[in-house]
Amino acid sequence: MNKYLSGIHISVQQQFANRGLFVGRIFLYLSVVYLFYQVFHAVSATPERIWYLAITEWLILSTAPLAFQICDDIKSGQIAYFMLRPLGYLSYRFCDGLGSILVRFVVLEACCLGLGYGLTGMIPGSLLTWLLGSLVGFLAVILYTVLGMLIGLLSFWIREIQTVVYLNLTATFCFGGLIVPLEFYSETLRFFCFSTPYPWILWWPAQLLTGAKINFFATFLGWGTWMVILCLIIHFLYQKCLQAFVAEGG
Amino acid sequence: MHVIEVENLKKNFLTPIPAKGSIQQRLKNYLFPRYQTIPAVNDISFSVSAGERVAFIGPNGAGKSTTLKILTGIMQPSSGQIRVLGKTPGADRNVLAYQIGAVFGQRSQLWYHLPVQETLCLLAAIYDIPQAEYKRRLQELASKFEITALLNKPVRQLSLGERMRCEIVASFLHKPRVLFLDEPTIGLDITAKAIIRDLIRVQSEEEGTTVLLTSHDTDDIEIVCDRVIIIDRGTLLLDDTLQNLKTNYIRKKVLTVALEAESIDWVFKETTVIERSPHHIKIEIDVTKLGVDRVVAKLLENYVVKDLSIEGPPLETIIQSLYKR
Repeated sequence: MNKYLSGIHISVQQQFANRGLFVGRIFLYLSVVYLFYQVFHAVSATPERIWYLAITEWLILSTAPLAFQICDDIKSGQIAYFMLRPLGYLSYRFCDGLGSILVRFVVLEACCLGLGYGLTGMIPGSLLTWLLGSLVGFLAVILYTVLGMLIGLLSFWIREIQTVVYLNLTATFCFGGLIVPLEFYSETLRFFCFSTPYPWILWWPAQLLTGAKINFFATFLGWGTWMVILCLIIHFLYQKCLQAFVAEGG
Repeated sequence: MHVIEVENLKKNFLTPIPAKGSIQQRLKNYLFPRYQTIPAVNDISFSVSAGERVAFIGPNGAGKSTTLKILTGIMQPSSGQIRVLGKTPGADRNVLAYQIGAVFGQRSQLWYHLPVQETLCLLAAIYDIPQAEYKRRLQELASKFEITALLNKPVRQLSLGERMRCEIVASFLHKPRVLFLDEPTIGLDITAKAIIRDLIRVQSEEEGTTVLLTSHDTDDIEIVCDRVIIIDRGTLLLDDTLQNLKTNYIRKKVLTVALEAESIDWVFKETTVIERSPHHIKIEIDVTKLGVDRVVAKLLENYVVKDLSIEGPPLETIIQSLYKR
């Protein structure tokens, strides 16, 4: 266990050490939300809509780019170093991602609160709502990161995963309700969206934090189900990968 | 006692058969590619005893990195028996990982933005090294490899030579019984190479670490190793001591002589004069046909010799000639 905690610790340090990326991410978040705020403002959006946007962007930018990291490890052969050590490669990469998420999530949540309040002059929900919402948001980011790991593993077969990452991002925007909440969708489309993991990544935490009434336990069950499904697929894929593994790069 | 035992190791790769013929055939091949089996390692057997330092060499694509990856448990063999420290690398990878180490010259195990010490601390946790033991070990290795001043520097600020010293410390940290080195001096300058080679040799001698080294630099082999295994196209070409390799595979020697006489009339047809100037001659002798002793005796018998030297070809030339066979 200590080795995985050390992995999280070193990843947290790495986040602060790379100052340019750290500051850049905050700047990107503030710019994107402010830009969309201006667009929404033109069509007189409600404060809840602005908060919805600020929350979904916070969650999306808090994820760890494990898909590309795993892909790089496989393509460069760096994975060989990990496989030589007494630890699970995927568990280690997950802990590494967890460290990145911790820093990004906390810092961007502070930005979200500050910017949201600055733009709307109010904070939705109570302190308890935000504590629960933060926990749910964190779980949502973890689900998205696990999905990224699954995409990263595909590079064992398809080598380049940019297209899959792009499709995943587009699906997140559309089926997760990044900009337009799922309530605005037709019944059929909403049913389809809820057959994918994406609503649990964005819609669920954003709804909770903007004070909408949702069945917490039913949605939590949905999140758990998707986590189990994704983890099982990842486990199965990784075992296949190990059997057919050819380390790249001599 | 053998720490590495390899018997009839084979590893095949599947590669797509290139398309030929009409557009329809090429399209069919693109959509439904057919594969052929290419043997990367073809029935090799060898063993390595505890504390031995073995150079595992061959031209590009010979199968040495593949063998190394199989020995470390990263890749599965197609067939054959492999035991490293009594364990099967593929099946017992996690257990074996505590006892083996590796340095891949073209890759880094250090965290780019963080000080070296942070990576070493993480490695100590990964290998379950107790804190007190880790501190003592780090102090010992840092002083030996002269990296104490580098420990708090971010890796991105290190030169390649400094980084490589840190990489090797990272690999020795958990006292591995077997160390796999894949081109550890690649890209380094002459001084850095010399330092790294000496350090690897001394460290492995002191701790009895078995070393399996692959390198295209023959100086790495000469300074670090005592034994050479040469493979080409997946097949074992030679497995012998470095000394035997030099003695048994040298075909030509060069004799340089300084004479009192201005010139000589050379008589041995098995030799070739490769350089001639007043009072000086350089002769190449085919030692498979004529002993150097006979040539020297003949010279001393007929001329007043002021100076004489005999040189063998560099190891590189010997290995090259083996590859060409």
